[in-house]
Amino acid sequence: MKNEKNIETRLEQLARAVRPDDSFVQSVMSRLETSSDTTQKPKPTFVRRLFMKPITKFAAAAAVVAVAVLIITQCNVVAPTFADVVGPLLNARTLIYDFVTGPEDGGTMMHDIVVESRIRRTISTMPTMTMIIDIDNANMLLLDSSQQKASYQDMRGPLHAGTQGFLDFIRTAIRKTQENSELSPHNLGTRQIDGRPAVGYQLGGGGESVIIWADTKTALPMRIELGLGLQRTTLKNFRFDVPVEAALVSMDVPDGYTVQESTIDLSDATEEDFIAGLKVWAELLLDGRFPDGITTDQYMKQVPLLEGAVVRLNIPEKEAEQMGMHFIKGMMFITLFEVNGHGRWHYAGSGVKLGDAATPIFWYRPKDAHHYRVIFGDLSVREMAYEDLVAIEPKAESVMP
Amino acid sequence: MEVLSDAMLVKEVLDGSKDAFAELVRRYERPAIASALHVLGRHHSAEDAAQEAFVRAWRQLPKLSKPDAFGPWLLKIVRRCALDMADRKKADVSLDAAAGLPAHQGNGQLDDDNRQLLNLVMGLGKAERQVVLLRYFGGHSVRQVAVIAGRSVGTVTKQLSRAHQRLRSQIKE
Repeated sequence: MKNEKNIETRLEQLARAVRPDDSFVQSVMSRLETSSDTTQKPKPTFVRRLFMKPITKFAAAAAVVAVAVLIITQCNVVAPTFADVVGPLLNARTLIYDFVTGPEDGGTMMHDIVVESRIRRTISTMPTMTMIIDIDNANMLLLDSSQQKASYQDMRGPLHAGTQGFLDFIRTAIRKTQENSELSPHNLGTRQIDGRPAVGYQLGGGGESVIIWADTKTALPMRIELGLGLQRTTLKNFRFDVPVEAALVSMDVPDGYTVQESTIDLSDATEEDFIAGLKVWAELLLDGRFPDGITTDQYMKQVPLLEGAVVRLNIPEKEAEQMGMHFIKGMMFITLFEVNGHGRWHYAGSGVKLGDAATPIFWYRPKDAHHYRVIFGDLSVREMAYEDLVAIEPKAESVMP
Repeated sequence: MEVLSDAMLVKEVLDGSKDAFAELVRRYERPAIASALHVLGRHHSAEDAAQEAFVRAWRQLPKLSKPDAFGPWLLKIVRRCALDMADRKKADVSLDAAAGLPAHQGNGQLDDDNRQLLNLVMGLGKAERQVVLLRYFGGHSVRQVAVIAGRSVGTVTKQLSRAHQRLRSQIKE
């Protein structure tokens, strides 16, 4: 080349030289309208359908449980300044945002489109699943684009209780402000977020906290960080009052999809389910050792791996489904732990071998109980007094009040 | 302006949203035309090939197993469409050559420097090529490119920086 201009400038010049006709997008869309194929999308191939069949049910169940991941518990320290910041959220007719459970770089990413009491949710670890949640009617439409199948899921019960809409959370927070004007959030000052100055407010503390960062110029929320026990969730990329096509949050089944009756029972999840799920996790995915952690994010990341592991077992479909459902109900037990009034839990199973009868891997104290429920590496359960637990596991002293 | 990832838009398209597909067309119109231009050399032919590629992509979208790979997948379709068109137009090109018309000059054609740079861009690895096309041809910020491609900002920054380095060194040669 003749000269040594800055490469970025050169690329910008090249890009300017590639200028599409103003009607390019319109021309493409017109061609789609006139194309006879637009309503006849190809069906999944036989191989793909065969691969998907045994795992569909529990992958769908994982998607259902995932809706409860954004649990907002009591938050009773809010103030008018905070209400100013959340005003746009309160008044927005539509709201779009992403949220990440677990570490922000590498956690499970979800994308929500909220229109009044409907949420359309997609999850990065389950790229073919879409959930339309009707919060008012405790109902969910689950769409699997890989098989063009749809099912309705009744969400009444703990799942519904754990699936508070984000806007509902804000409204609750503002109501509490009106009820108690002495409450005030902690002002965190300003920092740069995505190149823009943002002011932060922290509500709550200890095991439960909410931090809201808002644009200092527009007061629009830019980022919300939720901490609930070990669970970390970050909401970001907010967009307010973006026009949303009604079809995207419709509870009607889209054209081309066949409806399947849902046989997923997620009315409850018990300690037995949790234990059975841990066994599946250790045996199928970790060569007989327990996982490093059991947050919802860590569970969600295992779902695709579990799908592959179950298929490789080449066991009857019913049995494969049962294994998957144990795992998902275990995730549900943890996700809805506080909603179900179980209080706090602690997991200490990282690296412990399945069958180790001497090492406690998980303990919690059920509401109003005096003793702890302690699960050991051999998956036996004992009720133990605090002193007895500390005697065999000194760590318990520092991690459980 | 906030953007949605390719994967999210693909899912919305599969659920019946044409607006989502229009957004994908807007997002990739320039990268697609650039990709076709690399094969065809003529702007108006490149636009035709890019349009044909978007229509094919729409029809084949349910077969896309990784929605976050929409960009590289689309650009492959563009290249295929451009090559098909080049085959069909071989006779025309030969006639131009026979008439002594200079290649890639005049209205709708790139000058030599731009054509050489486009060749180098299209010769990058697919991940680096995608971020360069989205950043410069799509006019997106680094952060927006990260969201669109489903990568972290750090990864996109590194890929852009490597692409710049590679292009710079190849230009010097």
